[in-house]
Amino acid sequence: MTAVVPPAGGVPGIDVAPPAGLLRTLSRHRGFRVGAALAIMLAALALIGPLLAHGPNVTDYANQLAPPDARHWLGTDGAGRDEFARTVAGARTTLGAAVLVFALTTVIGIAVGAAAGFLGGVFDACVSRLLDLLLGLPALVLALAVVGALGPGFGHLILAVTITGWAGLAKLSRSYTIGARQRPDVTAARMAGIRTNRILAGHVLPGAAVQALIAATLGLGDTILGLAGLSFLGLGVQPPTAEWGSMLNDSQLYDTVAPWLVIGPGLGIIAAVTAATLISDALRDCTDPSRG
Amino acid sequence: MLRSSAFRIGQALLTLWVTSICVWALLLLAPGDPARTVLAARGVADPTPALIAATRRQLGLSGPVVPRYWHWLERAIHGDFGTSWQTGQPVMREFAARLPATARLTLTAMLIAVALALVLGLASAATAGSWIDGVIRTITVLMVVTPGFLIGLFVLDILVVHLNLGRVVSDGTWSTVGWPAATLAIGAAGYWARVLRVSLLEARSASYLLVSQARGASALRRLFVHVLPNAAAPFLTVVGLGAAALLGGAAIAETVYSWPGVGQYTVQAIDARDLPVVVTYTMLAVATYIVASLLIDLALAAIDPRLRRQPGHRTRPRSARVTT
Repeated sequence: MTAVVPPAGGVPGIDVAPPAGLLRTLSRHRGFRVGAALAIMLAALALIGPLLAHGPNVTDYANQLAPPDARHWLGTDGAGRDEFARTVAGARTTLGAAVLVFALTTVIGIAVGAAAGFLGGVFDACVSRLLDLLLGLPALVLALAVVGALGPGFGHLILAVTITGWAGLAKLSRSYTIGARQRPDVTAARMAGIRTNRILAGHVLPGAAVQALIAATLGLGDTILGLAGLSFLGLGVQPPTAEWGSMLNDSQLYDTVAPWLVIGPGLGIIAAVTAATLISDALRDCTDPSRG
Repeated sequence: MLRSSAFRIGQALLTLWVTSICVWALLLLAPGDPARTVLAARGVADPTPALIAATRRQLGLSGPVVPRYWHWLERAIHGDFGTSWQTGQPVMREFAARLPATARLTLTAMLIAVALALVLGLASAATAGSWIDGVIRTITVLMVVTPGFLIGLFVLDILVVHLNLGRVVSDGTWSTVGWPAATLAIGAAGYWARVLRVSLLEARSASYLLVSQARGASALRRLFVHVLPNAAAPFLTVVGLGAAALLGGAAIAETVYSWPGVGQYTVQAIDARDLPVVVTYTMLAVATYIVASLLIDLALAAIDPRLRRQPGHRTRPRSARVTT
């Protein structure tokens, strides 16, 4: 099989990032504004929230399943823990894990993809087969299988989502690198006798990184949904750590008496995935010339 | 056409085989000694070492790795996926009892999702730029970002328990499949509608359409000969792969509604570290996905002559959104 490289122009996007220009275009994009506002709000909640609400794990058995009021904005759960404090703490867990997966998949994807594209040969052939294999399989099922084999746990969950998430980015970086090898500036640099690793660092990796970051943003919403979904199944964090998916799982026990337990983590997940989707849509709109 | 089809089928079989090795290797991560658990499940409380050794041989847990894999593969091809470590029963017996329920759930979900996606996507593309389009696009984004388990909780909490709008019975039959299937369908429908809208708009703005208009082709001819076949390819791809990926989402939907299918069974098996069940579920889901992917490629080659020439050159997107 030879035709793994997408045809010229088959990779949507830009050659090298024009950060200032891209930011200006983005700031005029309505979807991006909404998404960015949501993302900033969520980040602020995760960062300064613990100052507003104390003790996500402080139990108060005299005050179980209390409805929302002035003291407990989102009520209390089955152990009398403040649901707002747990939602805020859950933002840290869920979003922190999503950011960790984002970083891991991007770094692994760029490193493996760029190395394969630049080195070529047997290494490239092996990596390409592996990528084809991973991309031809359903991600959530694979993640379920990995967690199933390793056993439930948040570290295993992050590992599973990372293992199933990096291949697309590696494929993108690989084809970008192969395209970049023939670019005039890279040829000129090579003819000027500049060492390979400097060409790689100076001419190839910055563009590959921008491409991979944009593509990784496209997958961020799915990552959050996958993490929350598998946590909901009880395959993620272990108690008492607050995490949105597992909080929703806990809320099932009390669905007849305390339906408000769904509000905090449910809105959190929706807001986070909406922010990721809007931002990635905007990035695609603004970097893909065919969409204008 | 024949050569590239044969190539593609060979490629699918190879993928399935390599995946089976990786998935089977998960069994090597077994915790403790499954033979003891199986014997305990069979009512042998205090087994002799000879009995344990015999059970280990019977479960395919002893001996060198490579022959063990070939033995497993040979039996798996014949539909025997080994023994559940939790119950000591053949895994396939448990799956056979639960597969019809999962098939009902995923098939209904697929039909609902395709119908919704067609309505929303066509309406959205027909009214592109207007407020109707804006409303539909907002709805489809909401459908995509809302996880299935949240919809399930909402249905159970609010509609059923608090507003008394109907009942949810999860006995796995056709008459009760509505809510779980709708829940599973919504995320996929939103995504498919978005893809359909974009591909319709792209096909409509292509320059060959201008040419055919200039040559006097009627609006109907342009729609049915040019726009729809070109817009169908991306839509078919995401629908086919997404439908196969519904099996992954089914694990979550089944757990929310206690639907007696293989997904819920597998999630319970993960908690019990019953790896043969996990391996069986993964292999079934992966095989479905690979077959769906193969059928899509063959269908697309039938629609689009450009795809027939180069074997192995695939222009469709490679991944499907997995609805959770």
